[in-house]
Amino acid sequence: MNLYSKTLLLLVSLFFISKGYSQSDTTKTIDINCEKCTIRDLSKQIESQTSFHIYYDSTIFAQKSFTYSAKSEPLYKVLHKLFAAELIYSSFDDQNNLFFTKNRALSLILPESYFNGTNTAITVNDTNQDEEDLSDSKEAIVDKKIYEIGDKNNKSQKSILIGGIIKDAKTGQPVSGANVYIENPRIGATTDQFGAYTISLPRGKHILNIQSIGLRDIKRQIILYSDGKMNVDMTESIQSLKRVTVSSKKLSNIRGSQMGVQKIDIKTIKQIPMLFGEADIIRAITTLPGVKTVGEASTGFNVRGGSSDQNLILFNDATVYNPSHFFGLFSAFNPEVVNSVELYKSSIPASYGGRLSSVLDINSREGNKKEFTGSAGIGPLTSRLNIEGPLVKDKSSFILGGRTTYSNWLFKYLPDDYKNSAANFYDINLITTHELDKNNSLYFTAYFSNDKFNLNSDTAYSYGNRNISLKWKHTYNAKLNSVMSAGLDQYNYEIGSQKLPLNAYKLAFNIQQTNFKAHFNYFYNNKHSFDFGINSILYKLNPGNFDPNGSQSLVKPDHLQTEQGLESAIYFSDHYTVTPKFKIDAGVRLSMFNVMGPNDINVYADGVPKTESSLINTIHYDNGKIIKTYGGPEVRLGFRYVFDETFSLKGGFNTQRQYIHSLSNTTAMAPTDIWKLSDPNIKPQIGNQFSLGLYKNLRSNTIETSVEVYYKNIKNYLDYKSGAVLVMNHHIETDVIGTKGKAYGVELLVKKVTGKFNGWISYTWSKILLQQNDPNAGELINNGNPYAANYDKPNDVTVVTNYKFSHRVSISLNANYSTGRPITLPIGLFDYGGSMRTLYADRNAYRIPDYFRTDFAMNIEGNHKVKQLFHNSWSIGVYNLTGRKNPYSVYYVSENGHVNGYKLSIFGNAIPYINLNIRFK
Amino acid sequence: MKKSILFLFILLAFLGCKEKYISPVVSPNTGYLVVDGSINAGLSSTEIILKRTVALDNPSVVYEGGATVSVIGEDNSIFALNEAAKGHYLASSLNLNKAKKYKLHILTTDSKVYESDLVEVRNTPAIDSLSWKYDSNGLELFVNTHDATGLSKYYQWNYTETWEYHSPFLNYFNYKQLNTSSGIKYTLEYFDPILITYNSAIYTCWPTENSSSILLGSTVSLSSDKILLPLTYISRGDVKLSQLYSINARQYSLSEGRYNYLQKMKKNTEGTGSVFDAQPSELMGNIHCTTNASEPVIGYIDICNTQETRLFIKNAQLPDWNFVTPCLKTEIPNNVDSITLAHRNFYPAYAAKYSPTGSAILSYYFSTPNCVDCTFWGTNIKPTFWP
Repeated sequence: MNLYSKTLLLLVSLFFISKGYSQSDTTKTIDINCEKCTIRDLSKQIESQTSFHIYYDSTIFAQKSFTYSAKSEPLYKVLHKLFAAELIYSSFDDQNNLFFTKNRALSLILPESYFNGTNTAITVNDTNQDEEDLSDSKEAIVDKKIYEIGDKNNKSQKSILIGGIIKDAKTGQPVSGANVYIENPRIGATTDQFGAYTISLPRGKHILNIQSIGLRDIKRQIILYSDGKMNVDMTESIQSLKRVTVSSKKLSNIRGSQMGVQKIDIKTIKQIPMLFGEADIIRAITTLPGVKTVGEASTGFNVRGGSSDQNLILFNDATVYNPSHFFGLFSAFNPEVVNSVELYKSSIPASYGGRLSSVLDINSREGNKKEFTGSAGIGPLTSRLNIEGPLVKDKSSFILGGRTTYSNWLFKYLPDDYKNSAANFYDINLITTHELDKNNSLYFTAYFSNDKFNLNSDTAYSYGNRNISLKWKHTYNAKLNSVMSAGLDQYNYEIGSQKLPLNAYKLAFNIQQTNFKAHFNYFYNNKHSFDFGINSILYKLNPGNFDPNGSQSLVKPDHLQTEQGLESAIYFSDHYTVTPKFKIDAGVRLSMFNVMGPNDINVYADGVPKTESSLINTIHYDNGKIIKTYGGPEVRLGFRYVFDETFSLKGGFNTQRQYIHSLSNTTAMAPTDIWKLSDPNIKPQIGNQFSLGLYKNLRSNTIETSVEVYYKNIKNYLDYKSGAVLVMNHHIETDVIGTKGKAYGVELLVKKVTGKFNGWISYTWSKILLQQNDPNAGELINNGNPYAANYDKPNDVTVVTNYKFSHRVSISLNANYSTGRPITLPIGLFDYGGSMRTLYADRNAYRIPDYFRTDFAMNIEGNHKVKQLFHNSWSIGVYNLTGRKNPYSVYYVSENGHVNGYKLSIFGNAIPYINLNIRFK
Repeated sequence: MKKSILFLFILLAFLGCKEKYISPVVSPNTGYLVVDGSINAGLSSTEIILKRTVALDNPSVVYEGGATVSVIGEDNSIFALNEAAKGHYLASSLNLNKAKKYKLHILTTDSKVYESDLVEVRNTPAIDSLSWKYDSNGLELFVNTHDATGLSKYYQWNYTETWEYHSPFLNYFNYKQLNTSSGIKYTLEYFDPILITYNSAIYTCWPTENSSSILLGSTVSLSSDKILLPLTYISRGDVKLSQLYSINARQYSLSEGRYNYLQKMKKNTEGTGSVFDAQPSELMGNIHCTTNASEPVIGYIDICNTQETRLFIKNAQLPDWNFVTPCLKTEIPNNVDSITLAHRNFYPAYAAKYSPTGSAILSYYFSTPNCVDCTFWGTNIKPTFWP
């Protein structure tokens, strides 16, 4: 690049700041008649024909004279002709101010229209060139380079497809969820979890905007000739607080066609005050509208009236069956390795299936590809250590993370019932990524978790998740890419007791699934983008092995027969942009479930409840034999209509099928709940959901508001018969009962995303009712009347706030109020066998007292010197600030002949905590 | 230092998470019939107790009197039970035919008929032994049994504990009322002024306690019909083993139905509250109201014989049992006003201080009545089985 061309570039660069919808522009044609005129005359001429006000330093321009005449010539050409040889720069802003400066341009931003038709850009990049050149460039907010993409001689192509990878310049990790768009016409795309985007733009010149939370916004000037690539590295936004963030484009809530998708990035999660200061993904999710938990010590969560087994929890595409540690007090995901969490609760993409309520998609970070770094956290109950770094610099990386606990001391201070308890857990994550070449990347994830505990008894429990997955991402061309993955997911638990030598036992449960997924994304054109693929999961389930434990034990080994099933699906969906305002997502997923042998299937008499007495036959099926096939189409429809830049309407209709069920008659999802595959006696659950939402952004898009309503019905939802035995039951179908469910609700959300003070308020009103009114199916529950499900909490308000005092200190306060969950309270008493006892009738007819909790946290960062070995941060907080004894359950128990009622709170006081986090290089 | 303060702070946070709860819900007037007990097929007596369910805020036992209760065989043989006390219906020995099935028939005073399903006569095997294990925490009692036929499989036990109790303070004195001009006053007199001995009638008693929880056992998951299960647990230092202790355990063989019914009742009423406990559920027994089919009835009738075994354990068998009485004595000077004041709450035990010559009592020891008079705890009539 020679001096001349540099000068030329600067010369022709007129800038405007990013707010810019300027009333005047430099394409306006003017007449100019100058024969040795002064800068003053020249300015007058321009000002009289445009709305610009011209500014210049008269001392610098005093000696200058200009000669140029033209009729109906665009202003920019005029200025070019006048100033080109003089090293004079002109710049304008959106206040119609035009500045003339000498030697140096005012550093504003390029107008997108200015370059139309000019050939003065310097940097040329086409598809033949190695794009490494591009990604190596260190980004500023505005890149003054002009990127030419494609073959200049190709004049036929009107619509041009560009794609690429957005990465973090510092760590080399892909940036997911970044918005890539041009302003006019409004065309945009979002990067996927690999940081990849594809966008189709008209031929010609554009300003490509790239935005992602926590990273500097980027504007790139591009000239498109034909299809090509554009990789961009983004830098961290260290200055984000000082800059006035103008967020007219942060419209993803308005623009996205999917509704009911909630994305929280890990930074937000870490701000929310959490129990013992341990950032908790599952708990963060429960602050969102429509997501609830039964109580503090409960595994899992409930989405829009779905039970906790109706959530598909994916960690890098691996299914995690138990997302909790420590009775549900901690989530099983290490916050240090997580990048983002997405919850789909109404429009579930066709690529996901197998669960009725929601998909929680947790994506890990990729390791730092440039240098070795690490972090450590020390808290009152848990500690964690993470190390990451490149395996091959800029090509492959790893993260190894581990957490463990030393929580046993805690039990001494829990209610008496738990005093002699013990609990330990650990989890380990290993994530490696490798870029084979520019079109092929490999991702390997391994996740292990293990929990061991006993609850004041001689019974020892342990459970663990084990997941490994391998993913291959391949880009065929700019339009088509694929992700293939294969993995093995396992969940097992074991219960054992040796207290009574004759009865000493071990009970083991195990579920294993081998899965394969092939997902394709085909960008057809700006109007259509297709997703299609196949999924296949082979389940192997060991519902229970009951074995003697010790030499004296008389326990007769009892092994429930294993279950096998194959769930397959093929799907296709089209993201159809009908008009820029109206977008449709239409998809269909054909799912099928084969119940496979070997198995002995019980056959029951028709038309009477399934009981042991109505068992008429047992049929044996050999290994691999298909016993029964369920299946059908699942519809995934969604639309979005944008009224204006800040207001949109979205709607959706979804059907889902679920072939695997967890069986539980405990209040909360317990680690020892068993999972059961559908079989000829237990039908798949089928759910439909209609949803509609309005989205409105206020105050220059800094405040997002939304209202969503939904109506859902569920078929074959499994509830248990009174006094059901779910463990080691050889005919479990006689103890469960299929119910019909319906759920409906309204969710309101007000969210302030930027500024010193940010956070959200969500309010949900919802109902979930179940009904079993078919006398032929078994006992009527509550006389066949609808009854509230365990997790029905009609009113729920969550407030999450964060205030940043400075770069180093921020405070967070959150509050949660909800209606107490339903419980079955005794309606009377009776004396039996020498003791007063409680009489129960209708299920879930009463409610425990309402729940209210406030948490406070303060995060203090160490100094911000970039070059130092250790970065420390502290988080200090109080969980349950008001110390309210929120009831977890209310129960009545016969003690020494008398009935006593108790209210059990998991946390009866305010719990302060302090956590030290260390990051090191 | 800072660290330890922080820890202390965190620890304090975990105190007190279980509170008493009183339901704000007004419970409906249920009054369902409760049929307690089981039919004894053998020569010993059968007792069926009829009660009514009551409101949650009224924990009283309401007996159902005046009913006609009988056991009816499938061969239409009828055995009547007689109401011995209100709600208690007895038959001395039914001696049922073990090959036949029987049902319980109840006609209440409001002309409603309740009937159980026909049930088989079951044979309860004898209890092999009662055994115990003593460790630093206390004494655990076990029941050992087996059924060579392997038919029993389901068991229930209940037990009665009896123990010899000695009052911590010997009682040598009684109050003597004085009618003075300033009102009624009290002084003390010897219980036995001639022999100067203590009142042995309130020194040794035999308190009795029945088990209140449902004790069940099953050998279904075991390779042989053999049981070694804990019956009860007594913490070290407990009064029950301060002298001599006895437990009489009764064993019943249950049908699967009754076992499941009682298991549910146990879960509903004894096993709730923990985070992982099952939710309570409705009970469905084998007794139905034939007059009004939708009316719930509590109870599950089984027919079996009862087997019992008694075990004695002496305090001397348990080294370092270390029973320490919670009773305290207080010294009160021997004057009318002090003793009159003590009369309100205390009972005299024995002399504390004598005059130097030994002729006069200067002060007495007093204690609360239940620490002097053992009949507060149980009968002072020695049980017939007591050695």
